[in-house]
Amino acid sequence: MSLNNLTIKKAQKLLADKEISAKELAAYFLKIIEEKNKSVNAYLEVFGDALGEAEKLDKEGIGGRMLLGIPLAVKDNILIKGKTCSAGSKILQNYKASYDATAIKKLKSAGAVFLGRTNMDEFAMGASTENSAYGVTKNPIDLTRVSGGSSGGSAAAVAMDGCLGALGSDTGGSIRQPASFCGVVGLNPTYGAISRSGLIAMASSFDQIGPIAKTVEDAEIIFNAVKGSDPMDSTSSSTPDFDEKKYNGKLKIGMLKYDKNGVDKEINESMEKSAKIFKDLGYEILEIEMPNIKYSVPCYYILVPAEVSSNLARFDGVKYGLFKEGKNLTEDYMKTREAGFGPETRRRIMLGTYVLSAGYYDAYYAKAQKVRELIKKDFDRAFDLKNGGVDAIISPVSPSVSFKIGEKANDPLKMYLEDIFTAPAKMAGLPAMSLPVRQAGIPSGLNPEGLPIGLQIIAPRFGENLLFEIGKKYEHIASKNQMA
Amino acid sequence: MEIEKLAKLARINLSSEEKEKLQKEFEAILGYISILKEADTGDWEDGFSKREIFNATRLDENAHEAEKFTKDLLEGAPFTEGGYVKVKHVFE
Repeated sequence: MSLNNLTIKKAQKLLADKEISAKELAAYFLKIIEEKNKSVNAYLEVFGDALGEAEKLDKEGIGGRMLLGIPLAVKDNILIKGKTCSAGSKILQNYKASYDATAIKKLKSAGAVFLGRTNMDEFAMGASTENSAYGVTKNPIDLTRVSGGSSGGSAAAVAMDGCLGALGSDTGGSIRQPASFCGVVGLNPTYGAISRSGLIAMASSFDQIGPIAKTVEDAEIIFNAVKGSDPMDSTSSSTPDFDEKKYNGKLKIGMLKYDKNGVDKEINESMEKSAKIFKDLGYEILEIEMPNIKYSVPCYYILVPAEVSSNLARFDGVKYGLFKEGKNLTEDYMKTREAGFGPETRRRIMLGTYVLSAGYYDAYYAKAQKVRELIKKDFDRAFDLKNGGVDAIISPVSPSVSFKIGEKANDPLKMYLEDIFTAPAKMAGLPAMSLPVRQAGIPSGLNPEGLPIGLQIIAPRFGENLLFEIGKKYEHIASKNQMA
Repeated sequence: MEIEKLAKLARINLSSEEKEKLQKEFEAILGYISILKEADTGDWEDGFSKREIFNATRLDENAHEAEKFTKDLLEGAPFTEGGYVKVKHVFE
């Protein structure tokens, strides 16, 4: 039996029909990881107990569990009790999680098998995984290029067929951009849709856990397994109304008007092609202008460092993680943090300390909070259907395809501009999905060098079902074209 | 900008090369960020107060039994003594 191009959906059927066991399935992926991970570096650790866990599940039987026997990968900033969780940082190199993240608890009770933990930019700060203390994750499609970031390990693990799906986290684009670079599907859910208990915090008013998978349907399956309110996370929404929302009839899709300079030619062209696909699907396409979203990245790089500087204050060599001895307590802190944090983390802590310091607070942090409100209002207007608004917005995911390793590593500002299309949705806490561009006749949209291009779809709050519906229809075009 | 002072506030030792590098990078980043000055945020107060923002608190009840998590949590700490995290004197 060939397991090529296996999806969660197909694997569920094979498992239910007893054509394959959970153990055989896990073994299949572990073998691929053994072959490919040395060159790709998607996994920081492959869990030694994965096969045993799968065997246990085989003995327990299928039952009604949503993800029974499905092998998944987990980003290195999501806690699995008893396993190392390092957030891609030296400061947590030997940290063992003392509890399960809520998302992990839910996946465990759904019967998922965890194959290992995946590489990431340190504390999820970066767009290429080059900020990981454990080396870059290479793009499985072209090993001279980055996998994107910060969830580059999770995206690469899915793209190299090293698992059936993965959890990532998205603060400014960290699920969507690597998904687009690796040619897979990535969902940044609505702020509050998935509990963040057990996600190592970077910027708490932005961070979200979300799925990376091969198809929209698979991303939906993982999302449904982990979503929902949680008493352990007071920011998880107590009114998850996505269950009830159904979308029918002629949808209006807004094509974001953006500055085409500085964006790859093929990416600009792909937007036109995607618009045509949506027209063919019977949707109405409108061009949509949002005057304030150009402020998203500058705003992001004030608010996020500010939150980073306070969230990362907990790493002090006292409660957990690395310890470096100094002459007194203050020196202990200073030496520990110097040795434990990498350059980008230090940069953001310093920047955050600056924008929050007396005398600069109003000019930077307070101003950015106000601008964040302007950006939210832009989205409110864009989604106001009664006043000429749209159901969803489409835009590129990133201004370029996957770039060469080292190309942007020495210019932090250049790296920050990777977030130009992904940061706006985060400002307003909106759900947004990245999926591989489809073109007539060929299965996926690629640039001339054969690198994937992503399409972003943004929906109103709790509009995940809308994203899944539009995404599945868009995806379907490819297979239809392929068969024709 | 007083990189030295910031480093002290942030409790991070920095080499003199890194301080110099950060100085330059900050100039570029802050220059880019300054575009925010152009944003008209005059009517912000109104918009903000209309948003439904509320504190999510829970009742202070149903506490777990004492020491239930102590052992697990202390395992991560570099120094412990008698069920406590051990640190150097805060005041000298």
